[in-house]
Formats: sequence, structure tokens, C-alpha cells
Amino acid sequence: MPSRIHARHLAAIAAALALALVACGPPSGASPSAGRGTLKVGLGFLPSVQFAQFYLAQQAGYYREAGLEVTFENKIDPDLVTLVGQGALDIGVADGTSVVPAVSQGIPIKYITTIYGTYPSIVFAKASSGIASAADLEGKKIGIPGKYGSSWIMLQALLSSAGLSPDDVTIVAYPDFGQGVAVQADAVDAATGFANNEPVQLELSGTEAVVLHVDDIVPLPGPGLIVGQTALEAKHDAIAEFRNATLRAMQVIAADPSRGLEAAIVAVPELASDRPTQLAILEATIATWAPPGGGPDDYGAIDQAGWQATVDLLVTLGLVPNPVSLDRLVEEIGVMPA
Amino acid sequence: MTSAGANASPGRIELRDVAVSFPVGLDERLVALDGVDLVVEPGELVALIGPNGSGKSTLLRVIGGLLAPDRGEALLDGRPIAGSDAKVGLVFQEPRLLPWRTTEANVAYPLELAGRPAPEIHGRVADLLRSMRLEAAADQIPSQLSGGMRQRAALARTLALEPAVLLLDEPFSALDELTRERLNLELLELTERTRTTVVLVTHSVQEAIFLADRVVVLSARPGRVAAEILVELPRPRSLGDLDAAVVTETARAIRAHLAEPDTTEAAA
Amino acid sequence: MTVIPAFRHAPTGIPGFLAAALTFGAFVLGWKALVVVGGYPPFILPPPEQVAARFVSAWADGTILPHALRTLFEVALGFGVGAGLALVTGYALARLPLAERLLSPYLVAAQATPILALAPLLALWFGPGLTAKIVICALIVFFPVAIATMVGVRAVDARLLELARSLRATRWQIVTTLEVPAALPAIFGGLRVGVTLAVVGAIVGEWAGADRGLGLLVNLARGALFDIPLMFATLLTIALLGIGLYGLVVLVERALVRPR
Repeated sequence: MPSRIHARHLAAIAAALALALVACGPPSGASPSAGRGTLKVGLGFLPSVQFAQFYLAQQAGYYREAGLEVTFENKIDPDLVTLVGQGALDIGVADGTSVVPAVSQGIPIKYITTIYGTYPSIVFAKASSGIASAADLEGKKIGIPGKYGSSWIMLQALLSSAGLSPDDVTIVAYPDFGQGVAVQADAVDAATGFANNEPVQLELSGTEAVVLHVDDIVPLPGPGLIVGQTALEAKHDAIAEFRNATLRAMQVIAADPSRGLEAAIVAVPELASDRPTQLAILEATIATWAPPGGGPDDYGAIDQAGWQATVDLLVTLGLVPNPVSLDRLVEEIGVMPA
Repeated sequence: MTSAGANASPGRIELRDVAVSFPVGLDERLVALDGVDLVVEPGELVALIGPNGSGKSTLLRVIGGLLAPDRGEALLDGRPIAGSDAKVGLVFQEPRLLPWRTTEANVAYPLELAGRPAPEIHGRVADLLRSMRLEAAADQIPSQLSGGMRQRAALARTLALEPAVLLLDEPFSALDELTRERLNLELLELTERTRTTVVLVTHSVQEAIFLADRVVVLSARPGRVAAEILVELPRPRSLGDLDAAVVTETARAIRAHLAEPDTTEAAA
Repeated sequence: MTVIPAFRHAPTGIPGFLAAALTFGAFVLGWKALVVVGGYPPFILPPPEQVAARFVSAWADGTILPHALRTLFEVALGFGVGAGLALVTGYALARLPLAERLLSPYLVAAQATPILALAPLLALWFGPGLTAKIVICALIVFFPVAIATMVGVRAVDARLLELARSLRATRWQIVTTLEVPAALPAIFGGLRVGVTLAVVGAIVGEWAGADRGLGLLVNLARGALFDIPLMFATLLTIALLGIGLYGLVVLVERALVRPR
């Protein structure tokens, strides 16, 4: 016997559904921070010594001097891009290789300043493994978190520079990010990682590490400041001031890393439990702030040619469904104080 | 056919000083039966009647092998009753048909459990359905049958293994008067034809007289045999027999024993 | 004298399937209205037609298929293992009073622990391969099926059990001819719930680390490709997977469970 539902009931159900949808819809662009001088900034997933420049600039008053009121939030990379695009955050720190697909998919963000001049995602191995260049990776076991993200892009670029593809190596996935431990345990010959993390840990444990950088092959743009289109229009000057204040803090820390460490410890007291390790990480981080062959005077510079090469690479990897021009990706604002 | 020893005959029940009690609470025991002596000859139809709590159903379960007595002996054809026996068929007050099986499948159930081959089952079930006039209901499930048909199906199922003894526990009490009468007649006709030994528990004096050769009256708890009253009606019986004068006298005799506890108290 | 009913429905009724289609249509319209009224950009909430188009293109160019097959495989195996163990355990819980008293606290505790918290731990123990996903699926399926089986078997009419015993049925015969058919409706209730939970389990397992699967694709679409319409299309695929598997269980139920 077919169930008979009456038109009245149907209208009631439809109305209830519509109400429920509206009630639980996503927030329509959470209110952007009011006022020209107020900035909401999203940093990476966990507070760490790697954000020392932000903590120092906050604590030493660089932002305040520039008339800015800055608050920090911690988000994971994909969320940062969306939140900045939406206008829920004014500024975020995101990898340059994430910006290209995001803009290609219509997310209105721009990369305005480089934080990591040297691409931080690297391939590392024990020096004793005999691996010295990309070509030596052929036939080896390489540990990665997964076939996605900046490390996957970097690995493919690195391999292709030696005429190799991922099929010429054995990829071992470590979704729990245990590939560093795997290298130490000789479970794999090499692995991807971050210049200021796994190789540092390896050396601290007493084993010499060898690091392969992708910059010589393709100057991939590392993490930098991204800004949403609306924020850029509404708060252009404030954002420029923020950029400059942040770069100033980076130069101060480059000259005296301990100032950065202390600022980080004030912000994240747990870091004080292992000062030597945190200092080592900070120093490795500082080393990646400058572009290859550059110094503190080159902080923040955007390598337009490098961006174009990156876009071309990402197109071949299928990550750019709609074509993007550089002017939609990057915009240099502010001037480095002399 | 059963192989008989010198003294055993198919379907003879003997109970000697049978006592049954149940644990109640922590230390107490409820005495259901306290020394019952009863003999049922093969082919006899005995009606068990008594007030509530007199242990009628308990006694039936002892004969059916579902309950072991605390004291005394229960014998079937000279051998002690130990668990349920293929020679003994039980009909409960509710039909207890498997709700998801058709009438045909329900009647076949005991034969299936006994591992009989399929063609034998099929033939036997067809016979049973015919003799109980259930052919039209063969493919229906119990929820589609009337109360009377369900009970008839239960009876047909019990007969599947051709038991020598039939035990019925108020089988028709849940049915209306007319259906009950009809089923009583069918039961009579069946048992008179097959010479099955029958022990029937009932609340109805009229039913007891109509069906039984002998009515055994149990006393109130703890149950003992209060009286055994012969029913002097010739067989085969018909509904008209219920008008005979002997029926009224027998009924009076039965009721006198049913009322006994009150009269003895009044006399004391 | 005819009795006139005091309350009467108007004769216009709408058959069930049409009502379902209309409700779905209302949902889609509501979604579209939400996008238009709220002014959401497509990278926050894409409109239904964009999701539909991406769904079609993602299936046509083979983006979704390998992931869908992997997740389906995880669900099928996990459900099979979990439900199989649960049926046996449920029966034991029903018929062995000691089993229930001993096992219940652990079963309830395992159920109460959120699978989202356990998944990374299981991924650590069993590695990034298929095993962890199947264990997670099996875990999430286990409790509802075991409890449904226990309840179903316990609910078997004691009078029918007495009947079977009076007919000298063996333990195995009682299980197959009486307890199982009697408990099947309840068991299938548990299986219906279990199969939809199994999909959740597979996705959660993939989030703890996977190289393929619809859960991974959701993360990839969101975090590496920034293709939000693809993310929604993948979510739609997951929903359809759940609906499809549920429908399958219902079909099996109709075939196996006789009316009563």
C-alpha cells in the first residue's frame, strides 16, 4: 500500500528544512576586525619558536609604534587560506605553493611578503647514506607524510630535476609524520621534512645529516604573509605597517637570536623546558628566512621569476585548473625600512 | 509401533507419590504437588480438574518430562520418565506456533526436528492438514488465522509424530464457546479413532464430563488426588449426550469435591 | 445506521516516492536560497548546481572512483568483520548471564570513547594500511549489532523455547530454527544502524592517515587543491554510499526476514 503524504505535510517539512538550513548555514564572512589599525593575524597550527618574530614585534612594541592593534590566532594551513579569503582573518601565514591552487579556484587572496626566503620543505638523509644530490635518490626508499601538500610538490620538483619521477623511487607514507624517526631508524633511506625540524633533530641526536634543497631547481615560494582582497583594500596602510614591523623584528632576531627565543618563551612558556633544542630550531629557521645567497637585507622580497616558474611547475602537476596571472597571486606592498 | 515388554503397553502412565515443589524467595518452597498417585491406562481419556493452584499444569509437565518430581516416580510404559519423549505430545494453552512459519511449516516442525526425510514430511503434513481441515490455511501465517484455527494447527503439529500419549493443558480455554464445542468434538473423534491415551487439564466441568472416561479432581494447594469420578457415558459420544441425567449427577459429584475445602471448614 | 467519521482526510494524497523527491527538491532550493541570500562565495558554500556539475565531472574524469572503491572496500570488510563478531558476541551475551556481567562494562566503555580519539592510536598500532581502517570500522559497527542481537535473542518467547525443548530440539536446532528467525528483525535493526556507522568509521580511519579513500579526498580537496566544489561532491558521494549500503541491507532484510 503506497504511503500517502498530503500536500500540507509536505509544505510543513519543506519549511522546516529551509529554516534548519538557514539556521545552520556557515557564518557569512565573520565580522572583520573593526577599525583601520586593528589586525587579526592567523599563524600556523601550533604556537612555536618559528613565530618568534611575531612574538618579539608584539612584545617589543613594534606593532604598537606603528599604530596597530594585533591579535594572533592559530589555525591549520587550509583553514588559514579560507579564513583570510573570507575576511575572517586579515593576515595569515601560508605556503606560497598553496596560494596558487587557491587563487586558481577563485579564493581572493594575495601573497604580499616572503617570510621563508629559502624553501623550508627539504629532503634529508643520514650523511652516511651517501646521498648527496637528487640523482642519488633513484631506487631509494623515501618517507613522506602523504602524496599531497608542499612536501609532495617539492619532492616531485626535486626528482624531476634529475630526470626522475615518483615511480623511480619507493614512497613510504607516514601519515603520523614519523618519517624523521624512520630515517633515524634506517627504515627509509631518505625523507621529506622541514629544514628547521627533522635534520636539526637528527644532528642533535649525534648523526650528521645531508639536506637537499629544491631552490636550485625551482625557487618555490615558501611561507609568507597572505592577505584577503577586501582587507587589502580596506586596510592597505595598516597591513604595510604590519609587514614592515614584522621584517624589522626578523632582522633584530637575525642579529641576536636569543632575543627571539626569549620572546617566544614569553608567548609559549612550555618552550623553556628545552632551551638548547629551541635555540637550534630557531637558528635553523633564521637560516631559511633569507633567500639562497642573501642576507637580512633581502628579507621579505618576492621573487617574481621564481613565482612564474612555480606556477608553470604546478600547472604540470595538475594543481592549476584555471589559469592565473602573477598579478593575481602576489603584490609587493610597503618598503623595507633602511 | 512400539516394542512392548511383557507388562508394558503403548501409552500407560503411572504416577506414584509424586511431589513437586518450587523455590520461592530465599528459603521458602512452594509445594505444588504433595503425593499424587495416578494411573492412566492406554487409550483412556482422563480429565484433570481442580481449583487454581492445585498443580494441574505442574502434573502435566511431570508426565511430559518437562519437570522432574522431588519425590515419587513417574513411569511411562513401565520406564521412568526422564525428559521429553517422542511418544508424548504436548498441547499448551496458547498455540505456540512459530509466527514466521506458515501453517504447513509449523505442522512440519516436529518432523523437521526429528530429521525425517522431506518427502515423508510432506506427505504426513498433507494428511494432518486434511484431517484437521486446515488445507485452506496451509500457506497462511498464524497472524492471519483465527484463534480456533491456530489451536487446531497446534494440535495437528502435536500429532505429527504420532504420539501414544497426548497431554493437553486447557487447550481450548482461550476460545469462544462455539469454537470450543466444535474442537471438543474433533478431539473426541480423533482420540476415539486413534486410541491415544489422553490427559486433559480443564477448568470446565462440562468439558471434563463430555470428553473423559474418568475425571480426576485435585485438591487445592498442595495438590493431591481428592477424587476420581467415572463418567458413565457410552462411546462414541455426541453433543446430545450432555442432556443425559447422568451428566448432572456426575457434575454434582465433581463440584462437591471441588468445593471440599469450604465444606470441611464449615463442618469443623 | 452508517457511522459518519468525525474527522476525514481530504482525498488528495501524494505517493511516497513523489513526496521524497519533492522534499529533496525543497532541500536543494533551500540550499540555493541560502547561497544567494547569504552571499556566500563558492569557496565557502558553493551553490547546488556547481556541486552537481563538479560531481559529474569528478566521476567522469575518474577523480572520485578509485577513492570511492577503496572506501567501499574498507566499509565492506570492516562491516563484515564487525557484524560477524557482534552476532556471535550478542548471542553469548543473551544466553550466558556471566558473559553479560563480565563484558558489559568494557563494551560500554569502548563505545563511549569517541572513535575520533581512538583512530590515530589505531593508525599508530596498525600502520597506514588497510588494517587500521578495517579495525576502526569493525569497532564502530560492533556495539549496535551486538546489542541488537542480544536484545533480539533475549526477546525470543520463552514459551516457544519450551515448545522446542519439548520437541527435543538440539541446541543448534534451537538456534537455527527458533532463536535466529525470531531475533532477525531486531538484528537487522542493528545491521541498518551498523552499516551507516561503518561508513563513518572508514572516513574517520582515513583521516588518521590514508593514501586513498573518500575521507582522504575530502582533505585533499579542501587543503591541497582548494577545490571546495569537489569537497562537497565527495561529501555527496559519501552520503550516497551510506544510502546505497543502507538500501542494500534493507533489501537483504526483505529477502531473509519473513512476515510474522
